[in-house]
Amino acid sequence: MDRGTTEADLIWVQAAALEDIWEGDLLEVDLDGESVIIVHPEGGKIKAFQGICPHQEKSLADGYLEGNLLVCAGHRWEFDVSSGKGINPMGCELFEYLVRVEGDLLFVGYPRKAGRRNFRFTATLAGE
Amino acid sequence: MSEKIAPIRRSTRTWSLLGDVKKRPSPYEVVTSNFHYHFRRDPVPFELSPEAPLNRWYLKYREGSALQMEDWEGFRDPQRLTYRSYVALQHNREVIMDSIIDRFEQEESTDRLSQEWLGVMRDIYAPARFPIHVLQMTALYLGQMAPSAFITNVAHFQGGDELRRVQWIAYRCKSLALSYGEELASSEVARHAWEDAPTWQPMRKVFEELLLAYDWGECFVAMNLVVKPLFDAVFNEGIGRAALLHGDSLTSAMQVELAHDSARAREWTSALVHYACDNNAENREVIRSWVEKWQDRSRDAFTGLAASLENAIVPDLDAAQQGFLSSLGL
Amino acid sequence: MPKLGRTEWYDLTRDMNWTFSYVNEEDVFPEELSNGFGIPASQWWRWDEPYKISYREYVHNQYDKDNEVYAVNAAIGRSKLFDDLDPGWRAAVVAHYGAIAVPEYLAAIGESRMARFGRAAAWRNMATYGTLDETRHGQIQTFFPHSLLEKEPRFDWAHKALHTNEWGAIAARSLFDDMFVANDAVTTALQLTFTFETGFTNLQFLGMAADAMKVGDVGFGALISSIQTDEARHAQQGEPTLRILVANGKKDEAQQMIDHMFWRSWHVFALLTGLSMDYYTPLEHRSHSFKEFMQEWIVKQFMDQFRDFGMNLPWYWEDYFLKELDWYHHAVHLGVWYWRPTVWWNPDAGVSPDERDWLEEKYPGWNDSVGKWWDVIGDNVRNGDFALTLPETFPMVCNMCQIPIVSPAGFLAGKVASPAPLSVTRKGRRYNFCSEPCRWIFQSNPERFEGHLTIVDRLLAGIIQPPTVEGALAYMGLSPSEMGVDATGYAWATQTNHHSDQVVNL
Repeated sequence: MDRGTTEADLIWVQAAALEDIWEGDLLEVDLDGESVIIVHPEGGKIKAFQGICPHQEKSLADGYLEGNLLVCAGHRWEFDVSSGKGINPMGCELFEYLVRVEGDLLFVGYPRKAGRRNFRFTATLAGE
Repeated sequence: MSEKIAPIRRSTRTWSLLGDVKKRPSPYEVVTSNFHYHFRRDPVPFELSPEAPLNRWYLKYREGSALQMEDWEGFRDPQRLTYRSYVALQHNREVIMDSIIDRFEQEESTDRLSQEWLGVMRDIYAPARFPIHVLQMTALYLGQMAPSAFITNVAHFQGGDELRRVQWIAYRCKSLALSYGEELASSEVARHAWEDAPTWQPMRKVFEELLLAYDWGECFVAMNLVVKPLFDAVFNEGIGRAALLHGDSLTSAMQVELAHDSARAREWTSALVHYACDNNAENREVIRSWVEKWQDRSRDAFTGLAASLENAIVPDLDAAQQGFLSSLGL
Repeated sequence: MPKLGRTEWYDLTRDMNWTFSYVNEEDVFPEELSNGFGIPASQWWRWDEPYKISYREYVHNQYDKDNEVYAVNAAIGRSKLFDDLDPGWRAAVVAHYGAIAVPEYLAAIGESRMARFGRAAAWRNMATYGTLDETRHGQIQTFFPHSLLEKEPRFDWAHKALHTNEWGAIAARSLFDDMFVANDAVTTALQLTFTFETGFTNLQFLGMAADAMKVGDVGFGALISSIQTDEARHAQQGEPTLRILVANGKKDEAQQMIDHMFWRSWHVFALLTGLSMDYYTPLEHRSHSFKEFMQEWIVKQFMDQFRDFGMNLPWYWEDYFLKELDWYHHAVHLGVWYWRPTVWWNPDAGVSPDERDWLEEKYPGWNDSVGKWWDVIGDNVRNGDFALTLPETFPMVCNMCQIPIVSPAGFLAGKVASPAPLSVTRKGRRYNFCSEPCRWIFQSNPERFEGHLTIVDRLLAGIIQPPTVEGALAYMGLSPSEMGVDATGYAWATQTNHHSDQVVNL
């Protein structure tokens, strides 16, 4: 998120009940027409990311989560869900949503004025 | 009323193109036999203009090769590798390589290799990935031009083996560089040696010329009967032994492991030479003349490189080469 | 496990380009095998693939993947699963294997071409994995049907289709030879990996995998999903190649290559996937129509890709491609079913009353266009006039896509301006085309295609003897027991509509 974003710029949506997302779970929700995945890595924090792969827009929910490693089922692109960054390929990144827990409910927030909430990633040339 | 007993139709057991075979083909044959529908296809290999560049290329360098055989489909790789068995084989080899590296990395101290040996690693071992890359390219060329999938597939697997070898060199260079200085893992330093060092130049000439051996038969002979066996003798055996003498046990063990791939290449190479010569006696002369042509180009280059492995037990290249060739009746 | 991770040493295996001193660069990379468009070597050396893998990781992963998928195959072979599959779905699978299995193997040759003639070491390394991958795909897709030969003798075509002169096999050869078996490395990267693999194979493999699982064909579903996971490595060769062409002022040339192969791929996949999805897959298991799949996987995907790379949509996008989405494969299906003795699978008409309702819903106007022909065919079937539902003559065949020309159906549907075929006369010979884009591809590069004979040209030239339907069937390699018949024994013609209990008027 850009620096300077304040609470007032965010829209919060109730996305799931906490009991729906156990450790090791991967859950897809629809947020304002966008696919979002909520991940709960074992021993880690619940996070939310864009739900489609930056490669070819396959649903990441069809993939699997192992520790912090998220692997897309389409072509085995790998992401680290502690940061949202690509492990293979490196250099790519998932758009990360904010999450907030209130009681036993999970809320996902996104900036009111956000541009694209689905990053894509294509080849670049060495030296670029 | 008389009734003819209709023959019960035998259920289909295998591909009709295999003909009237009386036994169930092996999985290897099922996924390798008769795949190159384009070889000697009438009127031209490919479904394009008869004058399209690749139609002409294949007619010239494959159908038109001096190496001729009525039926290339009869050749069998002694290991009968399919993709599945190749990957299983190399999975096992990589498990072994992993364990070799694990063992030596735990034992290896970081300061005992001599400057002299590190110089050999920098000047000979590290740049060797360039000629091995040429072997990779050439194996994959041979694969795309071979007249039968029985040959194509082993050539392609050989290309994979060369990629494996390049990567383990890179690995070893990097691990040494962490202890002994970055120049061991510098592409600039390695490329500079390959492009400019006098020891390498006769070799580089041979390898660059190998890229132009476009006739598929000549490509096979030049690479697998001359250039690659000589190179493997220097690189796998020569470097391996030299490494041992200089206390670099890990490099030595890695070279021994990589030599398994080279041995497999010699095995199918021998089988193909036998197949080609046993079924068409004229092929022996064809192969012999290419061997002579490429030996003439290679001999001094390899001897020069081997000599730079000073103090090492340099393999007797002439003996190694002649032994291999005479075992093939060449 | 070795202490250094891949990222620590991997670049040493990529930064392996050098300047030739003892031979000429143009001899190492001859134009016919590697069209460099005059771009200097140092520019090609900037080639960088996003997804990386070591040989060690490769063999470990692939070993596991092969074990999984072969285990499924072995289990299926012992079960009754295959016997119970719907006849329409069988048609889809038999057609798939014939058109795809050996071409996948051929793609290994396209890949080894790039592994030798790609203009950067990093590219050649990636293509080396691609060579291995495609060997896998060719072998796995022949091994599986081979193990089912006793249950389905038509699986023989998984192996032999491309050895024959069956017209669909000619169309497949024509496409794949043009795309990668007989293509140069640079063009192959754009046409095979960027245009075809990132788009169309997704359609066939992920789309058909989803349908397979619904139909209950677990073996086929597991197989083609496993194949698709390999594409991450080798399908990415197109993107960096395209980046280099665009960065060096060759955008127009790149656009031409993509536009050419997008159109050719579209036609063959309309034939293969279009019929499978909209007619052969059992109605209750269809999730999307072919058009919807095309819109989701191809139209959107390509528009995003074109935008990412600063490319234009192909010139024919609005006026020809999007319009054909509504009618082309329906017309081809009608032709394939009518000329069913000329194909190696048993086409499922797929036009029972319920299926027609579905077609009308997905393609409004279907009943008033191709539906009218099916009305007549249905009447002939119900009257027992089967001879009237079979061909006595030959259609015209397009000199580019090698598929029969079906433009009259497009005209009837109001989607093309004239029912007449398009033509070009060159060096005294007339070439016919099914569409403006097919004609444009020919005219853009006539030397590549002229002199080639379609199956109908061969008939007229006297190559096929005798020049009759029987002679042509023999030339196509179809024995009487292999010629396609209606998949369901015409059950569709006498089925009732499930929505109303009204019996179709016989």
